[in-house]
Amino acid sequence: MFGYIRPYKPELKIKEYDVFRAYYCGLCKDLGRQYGQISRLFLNYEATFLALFLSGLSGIKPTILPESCIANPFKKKPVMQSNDCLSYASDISIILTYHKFRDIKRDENPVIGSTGMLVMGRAYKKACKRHPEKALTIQKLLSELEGLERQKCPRVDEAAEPFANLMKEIFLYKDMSLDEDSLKHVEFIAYNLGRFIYIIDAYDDLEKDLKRGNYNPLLLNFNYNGQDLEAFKKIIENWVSFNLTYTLSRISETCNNLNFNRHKAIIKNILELGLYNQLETIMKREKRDEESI
Amino acid sequence: MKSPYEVLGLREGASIEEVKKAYRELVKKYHPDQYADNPLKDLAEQKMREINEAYNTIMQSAGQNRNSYTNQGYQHTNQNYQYGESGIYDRVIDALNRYDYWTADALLNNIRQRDAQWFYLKGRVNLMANRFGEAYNYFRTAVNMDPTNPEYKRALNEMAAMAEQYQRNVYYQRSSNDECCQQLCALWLCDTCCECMGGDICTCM
Repeated sequence: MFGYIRPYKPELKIKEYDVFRAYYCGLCKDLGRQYGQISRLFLNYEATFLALFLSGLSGIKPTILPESCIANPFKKKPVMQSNDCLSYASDISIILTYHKFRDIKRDENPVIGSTGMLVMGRAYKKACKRHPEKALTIQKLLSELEGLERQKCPRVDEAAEPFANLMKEIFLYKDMSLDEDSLKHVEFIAYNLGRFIYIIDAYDDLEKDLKRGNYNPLLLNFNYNGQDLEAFKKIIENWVSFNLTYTLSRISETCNNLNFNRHKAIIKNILELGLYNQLETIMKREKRDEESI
Repeated sequence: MKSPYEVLGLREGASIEEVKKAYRELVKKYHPDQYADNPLKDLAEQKMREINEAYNTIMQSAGQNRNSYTNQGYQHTNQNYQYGESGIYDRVIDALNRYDYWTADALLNNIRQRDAQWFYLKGRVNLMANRFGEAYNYFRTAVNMDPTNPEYKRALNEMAAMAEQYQRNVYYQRSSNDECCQQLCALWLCDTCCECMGGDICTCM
């Protein structure tokens, strides 16, 4: 969907990378089995992380078996066998993909959007039936998000809230038997993960939004007045970078208070190194462009 | 109309300690934050208002030497504006200590004369509400308005130090040589920012 939640490979052990791959492949196969082959095209890192994070917290023992795959039919690769966390992640990913197409239909390209919605319609209904409350809440939060966009909310932190709440909702999977404190930590991590994604996406999309005349909270928050975009980025860079680094520091702090049954190293790699790497890459992008000019 | 004691689920004439305890528990239970993404939010907010009113009424009548809690702050505004404001600030601080930033924010928004303390408290409200960028701005304004206040400076420094420590940890984990240079750079940058705003993380730079 966004692709910001991914491991920082250079610091990952090979066995950890294999587990991550196994989740990725497992999710892909689970999507295919439950929602048909087309849905496998919309496999994403966010859902993989969701499955990994929930399995790490839960008591479920994961089974990884070597299996072959359409993409590579002759070589068997480790694949996570379907379990509750994995199929929950694929249900959620279907729901979000459907909404993504609705978004595209509205803002970007009605043809692609409608086609996507049509293709995903059946899968979406099935996923909604499995998690009616989640589906309703997600829809409600997304319309809140659209509401803020329509009102042209001028504060980034405020505009990020519905999406942050959406992530919180997604990560609270009811079958996890967690104590109250752990639940609070999970909520906090998920909420701030949502904040991070929303804000960094806004920063990443500045140019595109400006060209299309779309809403972008950063433009309004810092009173963009038609100046050169690079100059504008210079002004807001420190603030955005600090806001996000601080957000990550709180996520990392909370993550240390959480008891994971497994996968702790990978989860920490993603939440600490992976996210920070994304932040650095995106903040540095325009600097590199500048140099090339 | 329920009596304030009934609202808090207590018998008439319960002791102040009991009132405080019941109040704290109810705040935890009905805090609108927990219902942020829930249809029950409106209900929770209404309940919170009732609970706050009941608590204030009891505390008022108990004559707990808590002039600052009561509405006197508002009543005095015409005669003695300054007194009214500081009264409200006490109530804001009290609400923040109970993690009730919702009430604290509502109180702050009623204040028209906005001094350094107002910005500092607004920063704390935003920090609690996970609006970190806003919180940072408010703390910075508070420090700029009153650079001598150690409390404001500390709040700002704490945020900067937290982010800086995290960054250092990331660089440490990546642990390659050129990162070390970046790490020093980041530290230097943080320190410079901090000094600009009147603080200092690293005194030697």
